[in-house]
Amino acid sequence: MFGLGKLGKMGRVGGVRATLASILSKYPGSHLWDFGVPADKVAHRKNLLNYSHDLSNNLAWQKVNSTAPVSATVSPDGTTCFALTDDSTNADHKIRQVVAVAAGTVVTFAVVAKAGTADYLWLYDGYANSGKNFNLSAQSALTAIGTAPSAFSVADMGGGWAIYVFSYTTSTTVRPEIGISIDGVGSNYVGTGSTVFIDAAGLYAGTYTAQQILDQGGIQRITDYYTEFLAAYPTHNLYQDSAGTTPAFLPTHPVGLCLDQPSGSVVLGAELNSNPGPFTATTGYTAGTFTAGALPTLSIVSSLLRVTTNGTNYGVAEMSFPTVVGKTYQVILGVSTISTGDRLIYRIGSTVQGYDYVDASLSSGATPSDYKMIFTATGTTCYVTFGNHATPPGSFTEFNRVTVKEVLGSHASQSTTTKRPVLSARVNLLVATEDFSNAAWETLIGGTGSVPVKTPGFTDPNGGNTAFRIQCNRGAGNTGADYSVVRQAVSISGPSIYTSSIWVKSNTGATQTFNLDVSNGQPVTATTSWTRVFSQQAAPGRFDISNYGSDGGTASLDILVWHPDIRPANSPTNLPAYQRVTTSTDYDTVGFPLRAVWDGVDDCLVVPTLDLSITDKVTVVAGVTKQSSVLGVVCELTAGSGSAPGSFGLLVPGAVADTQNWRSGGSVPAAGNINSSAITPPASLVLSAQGDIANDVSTLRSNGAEAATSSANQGTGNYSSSALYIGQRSANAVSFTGAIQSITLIPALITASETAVIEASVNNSMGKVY
Amino acid sequence: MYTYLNLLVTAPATPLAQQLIEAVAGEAGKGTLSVPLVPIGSPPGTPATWYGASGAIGSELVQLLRDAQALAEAAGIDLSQAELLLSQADITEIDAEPWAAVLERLGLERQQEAV
Repeated sequence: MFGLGKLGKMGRVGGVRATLASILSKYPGSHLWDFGVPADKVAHRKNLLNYSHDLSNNLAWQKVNSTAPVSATVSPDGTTCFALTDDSTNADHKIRQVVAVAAGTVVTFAVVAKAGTADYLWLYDGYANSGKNFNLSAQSALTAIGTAPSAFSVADMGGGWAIYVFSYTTSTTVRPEIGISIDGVGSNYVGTGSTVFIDAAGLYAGTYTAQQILDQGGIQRITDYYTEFLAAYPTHNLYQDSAGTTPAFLPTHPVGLCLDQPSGSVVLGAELNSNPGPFTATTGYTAGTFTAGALPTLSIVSSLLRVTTNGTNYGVAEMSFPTVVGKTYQVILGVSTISTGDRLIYRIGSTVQGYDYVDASLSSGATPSDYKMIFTATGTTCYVTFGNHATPPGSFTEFNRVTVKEVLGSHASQSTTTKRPVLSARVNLLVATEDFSNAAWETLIGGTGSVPVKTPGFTDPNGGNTAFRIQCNRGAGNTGADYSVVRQAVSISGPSIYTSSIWVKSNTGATQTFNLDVSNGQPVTATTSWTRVFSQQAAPGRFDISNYGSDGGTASLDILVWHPDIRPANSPTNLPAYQRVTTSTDYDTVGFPLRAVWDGVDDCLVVPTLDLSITDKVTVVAGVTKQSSVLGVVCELTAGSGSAPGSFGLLVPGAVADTQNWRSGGSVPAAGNINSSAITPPASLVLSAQGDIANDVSTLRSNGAEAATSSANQGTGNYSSSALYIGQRSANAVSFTGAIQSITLIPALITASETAVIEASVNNSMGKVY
Repeated sequence: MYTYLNLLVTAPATPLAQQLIEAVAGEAGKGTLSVPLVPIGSPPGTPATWYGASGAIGSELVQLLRDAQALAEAAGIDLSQAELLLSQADITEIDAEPWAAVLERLGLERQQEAV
């Protein structure tokens, strides 16, 4: 059916260059579940703290024997700052915030501060037992607290302000603290109302100097990160929870909801609010408050809906609209004004003033903006509550729109947290790739070999000092029992060929040879110039800088090394040759596609109802990276495509070892059951499948070429109106292990050229797998 | 905030574990421990001896899985019951011990499935 010929003329539909979106729009009832996240979104966040410029926020910042009120003291950007003030308790005086960062991550804690009545700043993380004292008047570092920081620095910002930073390795819990000190040694004393001024704080993955953070424009402002992310990317389609409250866009984020993009992007229905703005009346809105007291006043000012408090906390406006259980809706709250000293609060829930869908309160000084919320209804009425958090009479918030729309399509979700796939962009299987002194890099010796020596601080190919010197002296022995090796064990996921690579340079002035990977691997040469050397082996299980007597290389190896990497040899070709990996959750994402990974245990997303009963034809295009030889469902209509009539399934791999399987059937289930040729995992594949019940078509393409076809009788009838399971069969079986970039489903047999366009789009998203 | 765990519970203790997880995590916990496991080499049809789950678990539940006293208080059961339940569970961080390694250590495999 596909029979693709020359691709040169492809990509044009009806004389217009086709895109994935135009093809989807051409075929009503199409679906796109895209589990990939573009790189620009991944790079959005650097500062891991919330309310970085609002230390008065008590939800984000826990106050310990201290307060942090707004101060009129002029901050570096000309606005106000916060006066961190001790109380009379004889204990630490500090504020702190818990941050979600993996244990073992090197982070940099940065604080913009100025001396007040106290001269000293105390920065610390008690779980890591690491910190630093600073002199705010002298703008200098003092003694370390606990484990000495791996780096620290100060950079002047003028006007008595400076940015103070220290770097440390995280423990299981990460809780950076900002403390006041009156002696430059500790924060534990009887307070007398002493102050230091703080403007902002940030926590960054990696090591940064104070000057580097200044060069980036200062500490990145983060208020409520997820709200800000959704404001910046209003069409984002992946959420951590099944209700669509918290977006998923970073490594380790689980995916609980993938919004359908039926025409290539998220599609919204008609406006459901009868008075969405611009406003001429307050019709549809009522005044309310969460606490006893005077109700606020609702009024219209210059086409804006104004909510004015009358001296009571939480003076709000309320509205509601009907919902259908299971359908997904989007609410956008357009905020024009937050009066000085006021704060914005908004909630969305299934009960009056409820907040089971959304519960948010923004800090004072928050920038008016559009705030977008997506949620899946669990009730038949939705209640939206919004207005003022603050008490002062006359405080007001103004809104330019309150729009409510259904998010159209058939969305894939998973309510059980353990069953959600997780976003990952990991390619390099090593950890501590820039720190050979890390325990992950073992040293092994045997026979006449000496313990390898690993020395940091040598000049790297970029002129920095991040290269390591490695000395592996195997001694006089020349057998396999005489060795000196630097090794990192690698957990591999399949028997495929893997590529190891590393920058090397001789440190002796003479060319040297050694083996990369296991003993009897492939010899590589370190010359007097920096060179990236490669070797390939099947399932090596470890990365070795190997010096065995039996290999015959340089006996007393003395080389400089930099940026090691090991990955499947058939990895996408457009990826950078090196990926920095500090830990399994802290690694480079720029240039590496971020997509959802199914664990092969219990992960599964489900489209509750996909009505394909109107058609007996279907095209499915999926981008997958399989990590296992164990049978797995990528997508399957009905509870079992092997036995249920009107079903189809794409299994990677199928039941026949390492093949890819497609089956389609009407009244004769799975009659069109076909397998591609075997490919051992890990392997990245763009798979296209078509089924046509009436015409007995079952076809499977793999990486742009036809892989299998069948004309077996599929019987009669259409496909079912049923659940679509992604990553697992219903009943918790046949779990897929690996990544799914996207699944495109079209209820028709599309043309060969259209197929090629979609395949090319998926291939590009994956970084060119063929 | 999530922690990524492998969670395995013996078959007799699984119903109670599932009730507790759902009580703490609500809808997000419903359906946890759904993977039936049997001793390696078991013939098809062998009843599951353990049930497992692997993935993101909310911090409030993680705390209970690591602290029998907290589990007892949250679930309204005796400390001895909580300790007994946790003794019937095998809990590891995914980063520290992948799922396959856990199964190998416990001598388990997934119950055979029809294709």
